[in-house]
Amino acid sequence: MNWKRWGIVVVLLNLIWLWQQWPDGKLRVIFCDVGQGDASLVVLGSFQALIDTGPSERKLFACLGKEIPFWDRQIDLVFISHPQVDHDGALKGLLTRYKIGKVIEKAGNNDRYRYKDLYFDILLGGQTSNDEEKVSGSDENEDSMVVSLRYFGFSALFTADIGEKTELALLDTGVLKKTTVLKVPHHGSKFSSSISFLERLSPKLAVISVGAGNSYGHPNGDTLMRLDQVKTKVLRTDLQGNVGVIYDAGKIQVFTER
Amino acid sequence: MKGRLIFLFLILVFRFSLGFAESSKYQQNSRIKVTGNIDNVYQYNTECIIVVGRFWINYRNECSFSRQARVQIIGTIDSKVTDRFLGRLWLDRAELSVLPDKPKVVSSVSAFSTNIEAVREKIVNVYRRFLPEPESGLVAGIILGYKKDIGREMYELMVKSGTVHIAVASGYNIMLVGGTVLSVCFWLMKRKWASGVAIMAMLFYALEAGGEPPVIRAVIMAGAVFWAAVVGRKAVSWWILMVTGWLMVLVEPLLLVSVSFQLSMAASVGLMVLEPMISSKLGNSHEKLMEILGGSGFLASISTMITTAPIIWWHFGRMSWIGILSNILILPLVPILMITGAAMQVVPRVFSYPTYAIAHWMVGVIRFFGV
Repeated sequence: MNWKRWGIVVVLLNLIWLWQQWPDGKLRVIFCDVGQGDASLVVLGSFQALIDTGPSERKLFACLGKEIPFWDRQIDLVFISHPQVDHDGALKGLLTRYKIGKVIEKAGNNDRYRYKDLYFDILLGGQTSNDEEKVSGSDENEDSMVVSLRYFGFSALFTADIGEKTELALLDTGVLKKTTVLKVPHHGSKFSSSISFLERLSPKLAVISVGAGNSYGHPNGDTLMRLDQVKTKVLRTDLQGNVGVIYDAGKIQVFTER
Repeated sequence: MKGRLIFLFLILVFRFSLGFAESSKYQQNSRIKVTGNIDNVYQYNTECIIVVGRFWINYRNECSFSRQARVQIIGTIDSKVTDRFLGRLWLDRAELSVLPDKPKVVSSVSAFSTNIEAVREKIVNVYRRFLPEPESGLVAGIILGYKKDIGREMYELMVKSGTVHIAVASGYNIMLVGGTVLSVCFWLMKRKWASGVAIMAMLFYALEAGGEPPVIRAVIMAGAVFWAAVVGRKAVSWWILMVTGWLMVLVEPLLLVSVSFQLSMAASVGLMVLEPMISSKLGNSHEKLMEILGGSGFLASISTMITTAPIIWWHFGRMSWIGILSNILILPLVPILMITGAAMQVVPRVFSYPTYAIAHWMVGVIRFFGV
């Protein structure tokens, strides 16, 4: 056996493989299929941010393993919209496996986080589980953190589990603008995604992060009808698996796992 | 040989006499109360077997008890005791209640096992920290037989592709650990000491790998082979295999119905008896072919498949012939992965690259053949 020749072949194959995994500099937003919960990954070059972790460590790590180069074990920002298992259940495991730059569990309204030309605007600051101001019996879903992502002509709105009440409050403040991609609130619950909210955003794509055969009946038929009314393309993680959007020089490309 | 067999038989009789004397202390059909910590709990088909000291109960309701939980069992000594000679007493119509924990008095045995578990978790954490999923779970599975991190989806793909055995710390792993340590130690010390260190390394590995039947069998066998070399005796592999199996059944007769034990013994017969037989039959006439087949691991793979196939078919009702191909593509890389995986414990940043590359290839093969 000619070891030298085989060595060169192996090294070349490895270099091609590395080159193929190298970050391409395009913005990627991936809605991970984590079952009944939310976890959205934002990747730009070597920068990564995660909005919620979902309930399942295994599903989250499978998604991260696919979308982040294997040598990159750092996630720069982790937003936790609100302290419920379907949104922060995998946080503990995430902290043991990845080096996390910053975990943001509560922010001020109108706070902004920035990486180069990528902006994360906090429209609603959210509430942590040990928040002193938390009123007993208050609805954690309505107190979710709402994050708006902007990158040149692309935008995405991450609405966690907010309901109609918060949607209308946001409409009143005037912070909502037309958005390219909407993470549909509360897994497609009928108490969210009001028609006025959807008309204001008029998203090109709506992603419902939802578990297959969940006991809540998400997504609700009424919500799907309202999304249809505003002529939005709908993709669901229970049907399509991981849903990804790539934005590069004004062009949007959508891909799904299934 | 005849003398040896008689000797083994006498030990067997002695073992059963002790068990008989022990079980005779209790009157049949008497109702007794036992309080103690659960020593073992495992699922057997749809039933849950719980062991507290020498008392065994078949608890049909649930199996969610943890080891070391303090329980009280009230049951009747079963008149149909099937293993009276082992001193094992089955309690019939048992009622079980979990008691509050006593102030903890940590025995040296449980402290030892906690330490072993802690080291194991520490080792696995390095893979979790430096490798993505599912590769990190697969690496932990191959190196330590740690299956917790292999997801159900991946496990099913491994079963379908006939590669599930790679995630079990087996005799193969033991031989790799022992062989590598022995080779290194030969340079540094005398043969006698090198064999001792290699046996200790295998023992440590066996403990870290959870002490499953294949690992224990392999440690006894490899230990016997190494020791035979030290004392200048010729090691006859099939004899060592037979005595090892006999010893293990002597200690735990239930192993005879354990699928893991049956597969482990059958695989050893394949590797130690069938493969050399095929090699010597075909070796003279097809020397070149045998060199390729042996080097690629094909012969070892086919030999173990032939000897384990009837057991797999008996228990699971299926045989994965696709496994021959997938194993050829995976098995030759297992020793390299073991080495890079071990090196990751020392220099994780450097060795995570080759480890990931190999594991990624394996995951690709498993997915391709497991669909």
